[in-house]
Amino acid sequence: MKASIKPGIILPWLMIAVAFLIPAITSNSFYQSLFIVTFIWIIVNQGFNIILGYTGYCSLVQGGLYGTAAYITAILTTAYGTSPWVAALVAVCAVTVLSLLLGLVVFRTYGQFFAILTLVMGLALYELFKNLEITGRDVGIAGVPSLLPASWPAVSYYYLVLLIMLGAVAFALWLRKTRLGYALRGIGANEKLAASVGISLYKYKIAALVLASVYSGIGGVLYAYYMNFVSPEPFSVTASLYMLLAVVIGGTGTIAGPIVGSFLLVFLPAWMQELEAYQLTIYGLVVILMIRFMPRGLVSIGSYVKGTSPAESAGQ
Amino acid sequence: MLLQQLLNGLVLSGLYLLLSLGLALIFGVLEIPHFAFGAVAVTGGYVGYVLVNLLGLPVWAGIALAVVISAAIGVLLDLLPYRDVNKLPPLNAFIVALGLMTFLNNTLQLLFGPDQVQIKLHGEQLVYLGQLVLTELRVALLLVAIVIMVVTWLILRRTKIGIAVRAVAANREAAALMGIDIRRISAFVFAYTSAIGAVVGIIYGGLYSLIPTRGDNLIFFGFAAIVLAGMGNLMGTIVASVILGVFQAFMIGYVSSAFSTVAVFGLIILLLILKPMGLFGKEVRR
Repeated sequence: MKASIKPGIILPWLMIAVAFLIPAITSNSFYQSLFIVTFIWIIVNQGFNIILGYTGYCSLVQGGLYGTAAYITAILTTAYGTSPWVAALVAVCAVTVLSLLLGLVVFRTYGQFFAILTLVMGLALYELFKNLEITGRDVGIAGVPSLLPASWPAVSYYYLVLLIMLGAVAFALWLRKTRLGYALRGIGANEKLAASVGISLYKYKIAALVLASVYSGIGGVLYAYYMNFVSPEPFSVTASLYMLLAVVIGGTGTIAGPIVGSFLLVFLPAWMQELEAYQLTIYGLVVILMIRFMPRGLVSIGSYVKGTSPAESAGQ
Repeated sequence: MLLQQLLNGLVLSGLYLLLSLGLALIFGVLEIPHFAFGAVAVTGGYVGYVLVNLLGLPVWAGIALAVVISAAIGVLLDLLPYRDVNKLPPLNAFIVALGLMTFLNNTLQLLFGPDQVQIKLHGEQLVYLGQLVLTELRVALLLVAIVIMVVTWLILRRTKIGIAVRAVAANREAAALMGIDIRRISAFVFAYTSAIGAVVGIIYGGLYSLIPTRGDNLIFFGFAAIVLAGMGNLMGTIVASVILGVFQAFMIGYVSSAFSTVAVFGLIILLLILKPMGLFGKEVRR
């Protein structure tokens, strides 16, 4: 990624081309699955970036919402025999509504209070997953079907997730140039100033949270259909923290940042497998060092990736 | 039965009180949301475990030494990860704290493994107060919590360094202009609160048990208390800790222990909806 000499438009398209060719390049299913997981993280993290990177509000309930979508998918398909696509739709809609309700409440606070309140909500959701009968308590829910017909080749899910991911990134890119996108970044840069030029803070902040949560919801649904199994652990507060870390390490407020961060999030641990026990220790250190010495993230080294001038996100 | 539950609640409150006292001091004075404080407490607990269980020191000596070591760790935290962190945007301080929490949790896991350990503090004898029963250790916890509160209050009110700490909390720039060495105050606050953390960790490890990630649970309750109080408000912190501890004990006693945590989180969410700046926080219109 670093070696690009030619600036601008070529690199993203080249990466998309490579992404499409991955199944042809490597039939290694281990690598394919790493890519699928990375794509799911990219979706979720792009969403996280909309709330954190643009408005500056650190919403740590996203991991819980991600889990809520996965659990709704699992419950509908296993206990009620709902067809997979309908279940997916219901799950994303449910998370959207839930986030709207949360938004009405959480934006009464700001700054660290907001981060802590959403953290507490994320914890409450996790505790519910772990203790409710319907979510299978500690064990979780097995036997979630696949989203695509069983007769299709296994690689089709790879392409499905890739396409949805590209759509999600394209939407995030488009959003930047809309009125809403500018308003959200205005809030992040200077909330009082934004209010004084007539941006309705409450409405826009709720919109940002809902958008972020749609992304989390889509990610959760794709996760459930990929793993065919859900359990509480992947949706603990740690999930929200990973989103935060991926976005911050990649580059807050940029489109490329969450993508770079998601790759690191998945591939570094996979490559450090011998060091598995040390993973999180190193992770913690890296986070501290990054935030102390490179607060704008990895993409600030190369601002050549399209639409990601780090100066734009300086408001963070 | 009701009074017994109330007493059990007060014991929990004592634990939350000490945690939230440390958090409130660090937040109130240095404006750092020290999310790693639970992990620091557990680290102190493990130091106590090494000294008392593994090296066989007498309990009082083990605790005293662990407190000193923990204070030194606190100074290190102030010098390394948290150095000048309050000059960065608030969110960055928060992320540093989360990184530190992850680091400490997993370093403990590497050193001690994931299994739970219990510190041999003894103190299992029952103490009867009329019809109520508590173990010696629980009584000790309550007394320690009260003593630490009083000592903290005296330090803040009566000593030179305590007055300097309050001056920094009230107005950092003005305090610096008056010749107060902010770095020294910062190191002192970290050392003092980390020492309290070690006490919490050791008592918790004797009363229940320690696992490397126990700090996560502790910190959420500690933070819950200071958020409820309105961050940095010391008197409010006491009241909020008592509310949380008693509420949780009643939930465990009368409803279900599995859902007691959810219920506590629900209570916090509800109270914050009603009072977004905390029960005793100043209302700020933005």
